[in-house]
Amino acid sequence: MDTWTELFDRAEAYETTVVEIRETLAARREGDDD
Amino acid sequence: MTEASPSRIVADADVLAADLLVGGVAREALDHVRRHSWLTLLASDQLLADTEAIVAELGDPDLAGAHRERLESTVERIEHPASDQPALATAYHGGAAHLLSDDDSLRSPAAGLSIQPHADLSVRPPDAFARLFDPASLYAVAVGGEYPGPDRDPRA
Repeated sequence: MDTWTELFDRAEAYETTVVEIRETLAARREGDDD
Repeated sequence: MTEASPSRIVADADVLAADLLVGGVAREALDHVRRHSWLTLLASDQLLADTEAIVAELGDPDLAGAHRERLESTVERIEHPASDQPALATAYHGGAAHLLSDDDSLRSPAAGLSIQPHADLSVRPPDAFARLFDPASLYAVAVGGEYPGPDRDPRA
């Protein structure tokens, strides 16, 4: 199992923003409501 | 209703994903939790599934699976009705006193829960939790005695 450090290193390449995360979660949960 | 404990904490899927994919205040907040063995992070299947879906979409499925595996080894699992908002319901059924979320709607009275959470649930964005986290006073309430300092490597 990966350590947190290994996971954070792997994730860094995606340069994700908090806004993208909020939008993705909102879309998923809106879909669940349908 | 499960009585709330100040040592029990829920992070919504946006915060769990931001901890991994962004860092910043989400990681700062969850590092506080990871470095203290007497704090318990709670999560439901729905909360873990939401997090995995975000990471799979914005990162990749392998990373999402590895992250979920790491979370599953860390959190205490909580069950709740499928129709309830996962973070609020996990906090309610798990007796959490802290809920970290960037979702403003969770701080409103009509937060999509079939049952209302206990009055002493504090819903905060991760930056507020990270800034206001006071391990010594929390330790005194949750465990008792003098705060011994961090007892875990938050990146292990």
